[in-house]
Amino acid sequence: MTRLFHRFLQAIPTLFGITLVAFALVHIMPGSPIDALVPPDASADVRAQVIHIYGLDKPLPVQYVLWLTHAVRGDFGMSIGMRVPVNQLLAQAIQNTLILGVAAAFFSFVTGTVLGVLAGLNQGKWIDRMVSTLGLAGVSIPAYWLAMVMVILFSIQLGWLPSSGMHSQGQEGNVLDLLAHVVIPAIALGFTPVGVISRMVRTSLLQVVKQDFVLALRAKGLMRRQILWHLLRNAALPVLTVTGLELGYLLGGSILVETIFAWPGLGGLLNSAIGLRDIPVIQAGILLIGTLFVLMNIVVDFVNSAVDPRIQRT
Amino acid sequence: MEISIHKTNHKEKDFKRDVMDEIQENTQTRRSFIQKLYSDPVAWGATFWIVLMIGTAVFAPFLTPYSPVSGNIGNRLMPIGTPGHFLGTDEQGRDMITRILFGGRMTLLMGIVPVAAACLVGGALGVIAGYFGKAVQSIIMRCLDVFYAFPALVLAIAISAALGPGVRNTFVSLPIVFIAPIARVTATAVQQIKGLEFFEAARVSGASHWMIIRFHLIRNIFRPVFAYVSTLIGISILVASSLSFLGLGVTPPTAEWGAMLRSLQDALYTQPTVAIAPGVMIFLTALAFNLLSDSIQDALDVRS
Repeated sequence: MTRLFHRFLQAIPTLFGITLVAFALVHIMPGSPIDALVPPDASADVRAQVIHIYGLDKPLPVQYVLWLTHAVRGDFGMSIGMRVPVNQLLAQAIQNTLILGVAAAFFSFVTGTVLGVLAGLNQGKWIDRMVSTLGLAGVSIPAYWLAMVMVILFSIQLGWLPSSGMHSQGQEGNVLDLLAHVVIPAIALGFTPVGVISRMVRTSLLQVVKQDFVLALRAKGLMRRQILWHLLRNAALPVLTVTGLELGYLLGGSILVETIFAWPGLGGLLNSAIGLRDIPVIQAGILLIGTLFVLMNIVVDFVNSAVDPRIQRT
Repeated sequence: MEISIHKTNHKEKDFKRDVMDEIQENTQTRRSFIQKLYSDPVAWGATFWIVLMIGTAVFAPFLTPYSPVSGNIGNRLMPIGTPGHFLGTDEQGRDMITRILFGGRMTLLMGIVPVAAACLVGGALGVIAGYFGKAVQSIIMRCLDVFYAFPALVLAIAISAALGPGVRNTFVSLPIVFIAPIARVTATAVQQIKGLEFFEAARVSGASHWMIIRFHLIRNIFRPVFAYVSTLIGISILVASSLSFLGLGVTPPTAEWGAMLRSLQDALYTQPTVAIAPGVMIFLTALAFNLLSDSIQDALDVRS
């Protein structure tokens, strides 16, 4: 527990750095959010008024401190483009991104584990080679292109699954409808981690198989299926770590996939906010993703040391 | 007397033989890296594809009669296999093969140049961090930690959005993404070398920092750093094409595979097959670099 607390303390300077990066990046951006609000033929007076309302006329350090003190209290201001509190936008978006992310993580974890176990148990045979080829293909394929190909195939040609959005018209809250919408984006997003996870499962399994306790289990007369259970439990740790790290990839990849499927999540929100130069939304979005990623790494660390106490010593 | 002279001679010979053995052993492992790569069919295949891509990229203007930026709008969205346009035409009637040949230039550049640039900066930072003790290291590494706080793609998108679209800005944002991980790998490698005896010996003998870094350090960290850096080219290609796909990288009308997929997105319902070729090209090129990197890691014996 003290270790976890210590990790959180260590993360504070990093989080501070993230706020600086989020603030600085947005203010180097070319173009002004005002251009999206004020018609080009508006008088200089009107422009100045709008700039004043959004506090964009204050010196940058003052703007940063104001933003930071509000952000610490969980207030990210109003979206310039949509006139809605940023919190409200982000809360909705992160929920939708989590639905997609969890579906993708579930897909990649299950598929990766099954393929990795198959490859590890059949080392050197054709199935092993198939899985490693698939893994390399996974890390080489652009997720957005895979998404396009799947839309062409399953939505346009075969008409099995919807091609965009999260709900059909008037079907909000229908779980089956949501599932139908999430299948293609989740597979497109989760395909790259499948390769990484299956590779890790295989390596980890092969290392465990060599250990003495496996021989002991065999000598004890356990059946193959029972031994496999022991193997998996012992091979799980590095796999958990990799899965945790891949969640970060999913967070990044979701920006692309959400754009293609018009998925109303964080990525889609950020992408449109970048187009509109909607400063409060972009800042809060970057801050949120960075913070989530840092927290996720801490949790992965913590779970590791909880599952395997040996790690604490190093 | 004679015997003792003979003895020392013998010892000297022994010593010489030892040294010769060692040198031979060294050259053997060195040669075996090349030999291992040479005897690896996958490395050959990947290298063949990369060389082919470089060749077609360089000679693109001589390989096609069409222009990559202007087309005949009357011939828009022709299917694959049309005479004169083997891969069809895009939404502005431009020849797809031409666009793909010219697009390969951007993709290769955006795969290799950012990684090379990040390697120089990140490598230098890593050497400084690893070599000059704890205080320097923690300052550099804490600063780089901030870049670790974002997934690579998010960081690339954020920086590109801040700098605005355009090829030149992509060449700024991509290296920034890779600097932190390269610096970390380099610093770790330096620390491992630092504990070895020959390193201490060089220090005691009074060699300057620059001498030690140049002659003892860089050569010895080359293998692990090179192996790691080789994995980044495939990633760089994918991230760069993603940026173009989002409209943050290459701007139209320049041909680039990711940007082609972006502009073809709206044409999917009319002519779905046009989206195949650019994606396959990104996939195969990233795959070739990833396969080659795998072979290099195997040959260097530094599987991570």
